[in-house]
Amino acid sequence: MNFATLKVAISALAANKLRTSLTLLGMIIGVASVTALMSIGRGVERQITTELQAAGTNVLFIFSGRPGGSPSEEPPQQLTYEDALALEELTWDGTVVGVAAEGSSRSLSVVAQGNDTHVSVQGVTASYISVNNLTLAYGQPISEIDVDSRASVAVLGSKAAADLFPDDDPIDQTVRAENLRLRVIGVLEEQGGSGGFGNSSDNAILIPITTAQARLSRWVTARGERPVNSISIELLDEQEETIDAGAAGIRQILRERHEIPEEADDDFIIMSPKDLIEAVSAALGVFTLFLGAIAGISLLVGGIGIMNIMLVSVTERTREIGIRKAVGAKRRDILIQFLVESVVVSVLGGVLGILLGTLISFGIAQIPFGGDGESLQTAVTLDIIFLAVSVAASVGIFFGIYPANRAARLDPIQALRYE
Amino acid sequence: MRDSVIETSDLRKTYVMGGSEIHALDGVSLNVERGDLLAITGPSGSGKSTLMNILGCLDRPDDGDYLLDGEDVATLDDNRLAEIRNRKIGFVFQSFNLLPRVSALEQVELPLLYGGGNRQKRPAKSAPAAAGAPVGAGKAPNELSDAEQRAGVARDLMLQKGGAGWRDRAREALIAVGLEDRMSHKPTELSGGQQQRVAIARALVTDPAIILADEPTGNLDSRTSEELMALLLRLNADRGITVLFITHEEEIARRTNRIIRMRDGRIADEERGDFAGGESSNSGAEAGQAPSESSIDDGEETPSQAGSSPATPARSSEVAP
Repeated sequence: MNFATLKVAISALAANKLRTSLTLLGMIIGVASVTALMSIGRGVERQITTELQAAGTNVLFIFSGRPGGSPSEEPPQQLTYEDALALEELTWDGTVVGVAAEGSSRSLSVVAQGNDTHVSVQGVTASYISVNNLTLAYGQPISEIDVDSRASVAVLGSKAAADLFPDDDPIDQTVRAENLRLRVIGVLEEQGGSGGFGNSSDNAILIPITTAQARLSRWVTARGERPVNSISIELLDEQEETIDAGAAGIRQILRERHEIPEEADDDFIIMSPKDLIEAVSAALGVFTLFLGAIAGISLLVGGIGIMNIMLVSVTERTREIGIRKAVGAKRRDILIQFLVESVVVSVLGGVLGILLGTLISFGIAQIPFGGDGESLQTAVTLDIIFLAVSVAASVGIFFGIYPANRAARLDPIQALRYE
Repeated sequence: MRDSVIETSDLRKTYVMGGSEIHALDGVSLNVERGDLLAITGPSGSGKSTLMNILGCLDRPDDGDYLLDGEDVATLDDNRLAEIRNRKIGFVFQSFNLLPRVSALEQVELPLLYGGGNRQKRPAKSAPAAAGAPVGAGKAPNELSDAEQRAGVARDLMLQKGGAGWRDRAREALIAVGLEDRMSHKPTELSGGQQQRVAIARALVTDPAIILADEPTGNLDSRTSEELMALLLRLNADRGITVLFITHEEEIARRTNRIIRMRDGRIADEERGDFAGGESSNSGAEAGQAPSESSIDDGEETPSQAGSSPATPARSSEVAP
């Protein structure tokens, strides 16, 4: 291909402007929808990743379970409050800043001043709020003394507070859940989003873990320990070495406590937000591609439009092909000429489609989404643009090759006789 | 010594039409020497066009041999045939067959585009140059000495090898057919005669060995036909290009030095001799031996001059300052 071929292709396309622009429109819509939908997917991806990072990247979460999942073995032991207390030992050398546990939680109906709502009542340790990057809007956090004394106190999540006390100051008010009467000592700031790990604390009531163990769930493990759902460990910083050292310390202590033989796998999972972000990003990437694939259907339709038009064009220009062959054009020359034409349409459509798609994606980002007035973030990234252009060009080649080949194979004599 | 540019033996071509076989060519053996000027006549359906198409490598015979410029064309693949059409043959059609919406200059550039534009002029032509004959092929007229002209040709060759000068070559071809003031015109802006001149320039631009014209004047009025034939005859006379054309008009046919009459796919009759000049039947061969390369501004030359003196005298008079 050279400049002359390109010029021929462009002038052929320019000769039939209406037809060319309709074909272009097909491509533009296809590429624009791919770009817009993928930008939504990519935006959601970013939003969730950002939220995960807000939970703190210097926190390790420990769950009961087997890494890599080997289901044949006996079920993993529960993590316990005693495990969490044992892990406190790691704070001695300064790598670990805080250890928090959450357990004996139940989903309950809670009543206050005639208002009631359904919330998750979570038993937590005193350090839970700080380790999990939660902040108090006002009032007091749950203290060590509250935990030690099994105090009947509660810190409300922002939504729980709004539901139960729409007009009043909740501090020092009483909320009742089952047989519990809890005095409200604090209210959390709104956390927003999905809350990263587990439920959002917005619709939760935090109570001292000891209180929960005594009043909500008295169940104990075989070793007579009190189970917890998760343990979170706040590290000094988010350096790779700190995370590795912290995880190593945790493993050592828990393996010892769980009496795991040397050769056996862990029966707990240590997850860093980094791991989680990676896992979630991967899943969301698939989601984004899926969206793109759906939009790709319209791109396919656009491609068929190109093929259709090129076939008409080949038929119309049969005589021209004959002339070109008569003066020495080879099959390859004709093939390339028509291929360049379809690629020009598809790439031009691709570029315009990206512009339109970016515009649409920008427009979507302006529309308030959901009740809180937040809008869906969108992101047109370079890889989306690259993908759209290369897919557009491939569509041009793929759907152009059949008509071009038909043109190239025309017999010169018959082509010249064509009226 | 005879230098055959076309040599066919027993060419056959059969079409099946509506279940019955039609023998478009039924054993045609033809020998055309370099520099020949040859008219093919015959009633419609006699196989003239089929023969022309095969000679022009647009079509292949079912049977028989065809040596073009010493090359056995029957054995060549599509790509080689395309190359031959591009470099050795210039085709002129009755219906002009110009590309729509394309300027005259670009029409003429088209064969160069497909030839890559880097083919030098036929090596055969450098022989007369070396022998001292002035070679003005494709060059603007000027007052240079022979030696300087040869140097100029060498420079042109180098330019063309580098792919440059397509536009110049196309322009020269258009000047040679007298269309210097119509170069940027599109077919719709040209008269029939002018369109056919563009087609001839397009046939000429690659400096082919043969020009094949299938009823080139069939769509033109008699005055334009006359001018166009004069042009073809002059190309034959001045540049030594072998010209074959189909015509229905005896008067035009008689301006050649050889007439082939076809009937039912065979050569029914053949006449030789310079009908216009009354010379012997061998004059064609002599003309072929001395391919004079006059400068291209012989556009003013009258048709009668071109027709009457196909041999060498034309060039000395042209080149002398």
